Amino acid sequence: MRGSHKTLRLTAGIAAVTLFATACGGDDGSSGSEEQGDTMVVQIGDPQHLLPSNTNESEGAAVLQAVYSTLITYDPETNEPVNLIAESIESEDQTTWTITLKEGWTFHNGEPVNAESFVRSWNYAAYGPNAQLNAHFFDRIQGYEEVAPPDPDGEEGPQQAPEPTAETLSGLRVIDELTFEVTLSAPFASFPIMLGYTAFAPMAEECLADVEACERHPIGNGPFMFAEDSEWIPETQARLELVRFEDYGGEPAKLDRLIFQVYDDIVTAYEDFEAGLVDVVRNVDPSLIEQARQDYPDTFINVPIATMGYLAFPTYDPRYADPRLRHAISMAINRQEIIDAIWNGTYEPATSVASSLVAGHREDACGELCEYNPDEARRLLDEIGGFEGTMELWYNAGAGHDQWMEALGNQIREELGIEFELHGELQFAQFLDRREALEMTGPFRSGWIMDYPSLENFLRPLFGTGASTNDTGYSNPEVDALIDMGDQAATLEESIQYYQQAEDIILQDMPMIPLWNYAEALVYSPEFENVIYNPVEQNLDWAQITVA
Amino acid sequence: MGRYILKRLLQFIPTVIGSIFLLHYLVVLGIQINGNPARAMFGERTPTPAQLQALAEVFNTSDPCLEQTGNPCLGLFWERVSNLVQGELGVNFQRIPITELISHALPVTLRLAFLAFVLQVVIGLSTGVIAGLRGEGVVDYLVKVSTVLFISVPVFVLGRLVQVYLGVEFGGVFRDSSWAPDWLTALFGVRYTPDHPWASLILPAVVLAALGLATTARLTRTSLMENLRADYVRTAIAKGLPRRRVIGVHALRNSLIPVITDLGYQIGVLMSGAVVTETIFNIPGIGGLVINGVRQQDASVIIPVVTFLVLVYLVINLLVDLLYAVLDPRIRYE
Repeated sequence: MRGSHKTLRLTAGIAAVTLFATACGGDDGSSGSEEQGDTMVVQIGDPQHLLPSNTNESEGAAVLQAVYSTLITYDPETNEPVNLIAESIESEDQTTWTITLKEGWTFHNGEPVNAESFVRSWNYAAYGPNAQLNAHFFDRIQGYEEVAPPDPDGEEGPQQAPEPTAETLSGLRVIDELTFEVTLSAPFASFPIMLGYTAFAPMAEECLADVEACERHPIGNGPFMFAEDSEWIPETQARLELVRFEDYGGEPAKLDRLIFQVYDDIVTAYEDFEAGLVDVVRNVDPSLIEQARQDYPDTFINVPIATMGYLAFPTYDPRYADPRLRHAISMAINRQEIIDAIWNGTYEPATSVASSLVAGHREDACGELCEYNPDEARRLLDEIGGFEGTMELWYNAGAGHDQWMEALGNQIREELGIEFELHGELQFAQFLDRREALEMTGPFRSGWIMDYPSLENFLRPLFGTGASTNDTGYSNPEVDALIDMGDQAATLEESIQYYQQAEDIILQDMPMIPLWNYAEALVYSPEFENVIYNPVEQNLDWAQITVA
Repeated sequence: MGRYILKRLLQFIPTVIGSIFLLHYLVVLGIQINGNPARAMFGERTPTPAQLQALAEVFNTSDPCLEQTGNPCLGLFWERVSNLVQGELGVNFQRIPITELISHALPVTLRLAFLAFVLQVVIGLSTGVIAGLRGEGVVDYLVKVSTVLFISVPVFVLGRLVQVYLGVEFGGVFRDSSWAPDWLTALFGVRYTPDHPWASLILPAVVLAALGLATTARLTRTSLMENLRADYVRTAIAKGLPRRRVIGVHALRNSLIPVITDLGYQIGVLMSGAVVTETIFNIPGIGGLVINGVRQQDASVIIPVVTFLVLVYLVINLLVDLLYAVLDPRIRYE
């Protein structure tokens, strides 16, 4: 048995090495499992970032809304802005805004939340070399061109973008401890509405001194703070433990602890929910929606989110230049049928270019043009003499767009007799590049995630002449003028009227067909009460939740 | 023997550099063809050139050669290799040091791979031997049927079944009870919990080991059956050697050569191929790291982690080759 012994020893040796290596790196079992007080465990996906100026996706935002508070918040019933840290936000001319803060707000580390803290944070976010993903939120503030200069000859040109000539926004001025002034480069009546987005949250001095540390262990001013030993490490399916912030400036949170558990897979999260290990699944997998709706009828929430899906047209291509063709296609699409087949009926068919969550959204804005009407569609197509050739339908690869684009193509072929060809071969970055270069050779998928709950946010960036995300080549001076008038209007109500007039014209021209308003399914444990979903913030109001 | 090992170790160098180059070139081509990942970060909103430039620098994708399709970007390659040699692995897109990511993921994956490997060796070898000795018996049929079953059921199906029935349903009994100790609830949990770094990995390890276990059992069975009919075994029996010695030393030892080859290869699979199991059980391991790196086209993650896996494969292959000599004295490396 000599040989066998040797084999055994060698195997044991390998095992010992493995064990040793394991022992070296692995002391990650230290976080305390004894949970004190009222605790809620919430499912999230792995955040990209946990810094207000750099978080532009939903998972990071969910955590930030518990950890940070902003100047205003939104009423969950009416979606209207309500002051939170702000005492008042006022302007005579819609250009210079004076913001006064309430007293008594502090950061989790004891630093005061004052005028200086806002100016400091906004300057950091806007400064080009900091490469913050939310920098564009600050582009209406005077001096943005100096801190993030545009490229003189466009992206493709040989010249590099010049170095910034200023480090701070000239439009921001501290007046006293609790007052600061914001000067915009042009009047904008909806400015206060923007301020509830986490990009505008104040960041502590300690946070900006070491941004990386502040992402691991955020220092906010919100109702919950990171527990002392809690740390976010990306890609580790981290468990973020938050505790109530006792010195919170607003109404304090009811729960003692709020825990965010990162899941790679939302089906696993739902299994954990069924096992009672997670209390909220923020994003129920489409395959489980029916089951969740039946099993938890009282605590299942199907929520429209402020994201719109469109089919955009290359209006610069003569084949797609006639608005009547675009109307015909819009009326050939049976939106509800696609929604039922692909998203279990959760999405809402679009009736406007804007999400139903914004003030000024009208159920009948699009009217007949967005309704399924194959006869009228065929009549319109005949009127313009039909469509020559094959229609190319473009979308980006690997993002789950294949199915519905094909369904859409089939509907167009069935109702209008137009042959189609699917083009889903481009990756996202390349797809976006081609859209921006106005080189699309057929209708393409588009979408828009709302930044702030204003009708304007669905108009100017997408339809303004030469605007940042206007990839259709659409330009209508009348629309531009109406949006400008809306921006300059004296009141919000008045500005909404101008925006609605602009929307009417856009829908008549229809450079993009509104398809649907996205929705998500959320389910929470019946053990909790006062679970209020805030549609604008697209999150539960963490501070209100209590144990039943 | 020493010279042989040295020679093999020296061969590692070109293999590793070659694989790093391949990885590098694939990532570079990916960016050249699919567009800069920095652009995708901004989504539908067009960034200003300054923003794009700043983010591309953070991502280390601002090199102009990344816009010329087909250009191997040798400058960038050299920079990467020299950084790797100096042990500087850099940071990922979120500016987290790669060494830190690996130091968190590796112990978890090693634990999972170790548990799965032990299961595979213990159960696979013993059932294989029993089936091989009692050919056509009940155990043999059992092994044959269960291995076909394990091989034909995809891991994600098996994983979900185990998760739902053993984790949610059966595990619920322990979670609801007052007597069950923590480790038992963790053992039949739904997902990995860092509080019980071993217990909560056992179910995932069973799922992960299932496929390899079936292969090991079948391979051992076939190989042993074949050797039992070999001349030297008949000679040994004719010499009057005790049955235990004939089977244990003569037949089994020789039968193990293909099995060891397979097991060596399996260790690599266990480390890198655990992506599905890791996702289902929410295990923060190497597999997830690589997949997320590939999704984001993050070369700074893909290259060091995959290079590390290449090294693991190479070392295990060397060990397997050395084991041949131990098992079969006729094999000599001089």
